[in-house]
Amino acid sequence: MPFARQVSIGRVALVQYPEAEAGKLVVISDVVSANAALVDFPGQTRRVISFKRLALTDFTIDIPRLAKKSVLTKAIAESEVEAKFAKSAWGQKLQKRVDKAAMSDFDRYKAAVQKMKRSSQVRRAFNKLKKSAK
Amino acid sequence: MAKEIAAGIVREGRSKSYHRRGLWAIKKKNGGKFPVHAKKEAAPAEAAKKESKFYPAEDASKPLARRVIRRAARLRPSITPGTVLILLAGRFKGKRVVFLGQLPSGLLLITGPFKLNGVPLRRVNQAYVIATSTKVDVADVDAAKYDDAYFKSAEKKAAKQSEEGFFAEQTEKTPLPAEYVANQKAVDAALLGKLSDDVKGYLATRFTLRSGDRPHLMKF
Repeated sequence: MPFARQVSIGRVALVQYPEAEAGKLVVISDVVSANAALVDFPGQTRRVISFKRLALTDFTIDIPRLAKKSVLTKAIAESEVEAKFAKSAWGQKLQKRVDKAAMSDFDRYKAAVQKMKRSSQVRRAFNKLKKSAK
Repeated sequence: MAKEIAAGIVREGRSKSYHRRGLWAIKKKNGGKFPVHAKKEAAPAEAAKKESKFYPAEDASKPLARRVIRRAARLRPSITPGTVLILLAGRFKGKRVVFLGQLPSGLLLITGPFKLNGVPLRRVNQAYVIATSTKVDVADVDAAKYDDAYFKSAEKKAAKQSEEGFFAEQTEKTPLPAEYVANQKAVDAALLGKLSDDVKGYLATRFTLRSGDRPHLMKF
């Protein structure tokens, strides 16, 4: 099977573009054309968005086509999609990126010190092994 | 406001507008007279000055009277006493230093502390500084002691020019007055006790941009 994730009603997707909306989760509510879907999410306006601007996730929720906001909200709360996505490798990667961007100068210094310590330990251990292997 | 009915004709005359503006109340409050600013006394030194015997052969242009009042620059809200700053220019560029207070001239009073990174008590312009979100405790530092005059170096006596003196290499350095050294020691001592090892290492390290760093997106 060439595609692991398929466009379907209830498919959870991540908005990639425009910048202001990037990183928001949405749910496909209907497929408008070959190029665009109607997407919705609690707290967002239901709107048409091009597939080019979406990245599909592994998660789907069980909703009917063109589900009402109340139905959608309930389905999302029950499936705990947001928490599941945050836990996934993809969600963790995005969070890491956000955390890294929010680091202060002092935080960056501390991280650099940690990194130096770690690599010096690794180097020491490696050289020890190298010596004993001869 | 007295409305103008036509050009040059106002609705209310002198007497009516006097009452409308409440000038009578001001007069009443000041004992029947309008308050006046006291006249400044003319400086008596003017007449005592002796006029020179000579006058310039060519017309000397008189300098313009400048009435600009130079006030101290408004401090950026991110800079408060104890803020760690990154210096951006001069021989200490990249050094992380501690802000102690603003001087009357508007310049920032900073110190390394000297023991950690070699930056002495010093004045810097806030334009050449990045304020970080890191703060240290400066409650023990007596910053009020320092003003702009403290940083003006004593006037140098012009040595008599002689041929030997001109060619002789100047090896002797004028040592820093003991008072300055003592002051720096006092400030360092007041600061260092309050700093954790992490912060000490932080202040001792220079800030630099590495590849991939985007300074306009970085948080400090």
